[in-house]
Amino acid sequence: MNKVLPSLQSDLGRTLSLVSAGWLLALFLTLTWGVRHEVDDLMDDTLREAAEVLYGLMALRPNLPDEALGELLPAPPHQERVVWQILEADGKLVRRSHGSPRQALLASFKEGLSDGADNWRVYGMRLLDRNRILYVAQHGTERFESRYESVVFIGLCAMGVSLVFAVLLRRRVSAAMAPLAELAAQIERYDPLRPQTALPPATRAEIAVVRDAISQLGERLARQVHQEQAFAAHAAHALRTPLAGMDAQLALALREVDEAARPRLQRTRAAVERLKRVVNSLLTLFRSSGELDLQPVNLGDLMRLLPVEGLAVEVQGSSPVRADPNLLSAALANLLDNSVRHGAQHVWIGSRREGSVQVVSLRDDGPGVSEERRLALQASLGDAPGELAESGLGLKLAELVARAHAGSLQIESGPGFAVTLRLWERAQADGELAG
Amino acid sequence: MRLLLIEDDETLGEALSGFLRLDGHLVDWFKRLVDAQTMVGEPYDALLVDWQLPDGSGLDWVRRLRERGETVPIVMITARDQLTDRIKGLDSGADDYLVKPFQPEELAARLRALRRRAVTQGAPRVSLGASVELDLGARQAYRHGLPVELTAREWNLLSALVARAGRLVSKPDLEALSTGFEGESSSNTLEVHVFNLRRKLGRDCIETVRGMGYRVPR
Repeated sequence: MNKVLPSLQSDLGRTLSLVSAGWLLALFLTLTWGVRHEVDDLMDDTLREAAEVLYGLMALRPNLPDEALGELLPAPPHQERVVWQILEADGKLVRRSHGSPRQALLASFKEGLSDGADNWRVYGMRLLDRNRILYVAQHGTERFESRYESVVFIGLCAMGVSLVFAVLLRRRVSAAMAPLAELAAQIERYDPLRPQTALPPATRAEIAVVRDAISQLGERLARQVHQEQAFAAHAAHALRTPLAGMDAQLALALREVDEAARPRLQRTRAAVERLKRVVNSLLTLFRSSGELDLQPVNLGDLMRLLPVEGLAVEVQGSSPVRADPNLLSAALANLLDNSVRHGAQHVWIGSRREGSVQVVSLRDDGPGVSEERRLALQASLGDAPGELAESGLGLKLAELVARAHAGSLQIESGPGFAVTLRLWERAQADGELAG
Repeated sequence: MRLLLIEDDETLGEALSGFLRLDGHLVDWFKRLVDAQTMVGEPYDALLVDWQLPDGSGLDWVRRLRERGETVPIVMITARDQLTDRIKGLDSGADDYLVKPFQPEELAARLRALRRRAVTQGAPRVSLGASVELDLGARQAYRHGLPVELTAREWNLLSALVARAGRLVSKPDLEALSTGFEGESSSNTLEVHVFNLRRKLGRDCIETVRGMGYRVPR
């Protein structure tokens, strides 16, 4: 199961969201405090200014006209947000606005701003005749509404701005991360052995570091592969030519010698043939370096190319196997040689699919191995170091071929000697990408 | 067939020469290009050239031969087995490409195929006049459908002429093609063999161009 790795973009996005939310909260609290303070000051100033206006009017008309008019002056219906009262020095209410209470706003006169009963904010002022008092007031509910509306409005504005910035920042983060995704795509196409796929110059300083490191790694790998290829070419020449010479000498000798000596030469030639297969397998495996030439392989056709003297090979119900034909034939040739060497005369080979796995199975009619020996052989395969003597080169080679196909080799229980090569679907996908 | 083999490996070169000679071919074996170069112009039926030689690249040598208009069939014999190598080898002008280690029987079969292509466009038998047929693979001649026994020298001589059917082959060339450059021969010997062939296969099977050489009808 693949572990989901944390995403840089998600981390940055989450951080930005948290910072935005924190900033919004701080802004909201600051604004609330500031707005409350300023709106209060503003409303207090309004009370004072209103009192001063009334004071001015009263200065122009110090004697209140027509006492018969009563407390209230005529006025059109309206909702008063600021009320006023004029009281005698003894506290008797002389005049008031429509929204003003009938009682004095302050129990005792106080000059300037003060908080009165019933949540009134009052500005008191002595009028010119000194016997009368002017109160201008605003109810606490009205002041709260004003503060509340201001805070809500500014808070909403701040939140809107924050959201817009959060979205813009997220987009910017995505845009800033885009070169990483481009680099990943370029690396996916990059093949150090094909100069035309070289990574293009980086467009960001941070990307340049990664790009250069990968390019250098690719160059080192390409150099190594070239060296290995050169070595393989030399090794191929050094190994193949003497082998060809040995075989040709034996073929010539077989024609020149008398009948009695031929079986010995034929056995020697068969040994040379096996040696050729091993050498070819090793060279092919060494050269492939994980790069497979995957093709549909028909086991029947393949086995016709791998005749082994003294061994009857029967291919049973095989479906085509998608594999590297050179490597698969090398593996099977070595397994057939093993069977012959251990006295088998008949081998059955088949292939089938198990889901995404291709299974190639081989069983012979030889003596097979004991369960203990089978387990020891199986243990000697895989990554176990220094155990080649246990399994022999042929079996190890077949196992390496299976591993080159991202698969495995399993030695099965009797009768006879039986192995199962499992070639995984992943090798197909890799091969198609490489291909 | 008269073959020029260029192979620097002593074991392989000696064995291949011996094997092909036993197969009835005339083989001139050289280990270096500079020595083989002296034989260019000699009438060969096919050249067998190794790629990596001590004094140069067999591939480049083949390319130069082709650039000069040489049409003799060429088989590359090399340890280089990669697909790109095979393509390079064939593109340089080789007609066939054989990867070491190969079995000499396969090389012999490929040479027979080359000969069939050259003489009969691939058919296993070729007719010579109305009554004579040659099975190139089995190295067997038939007259009126009955097998005729030919000596190795007679067969070489006849197949060299058949490979050049309709063309005049000079006596020196025919001697070289049927005996190799080391062979002991004389015009009289050649005429004796031609006489024997006419006796076995009929007078009309080989035409004499007086003072110049021999020819078989196309």
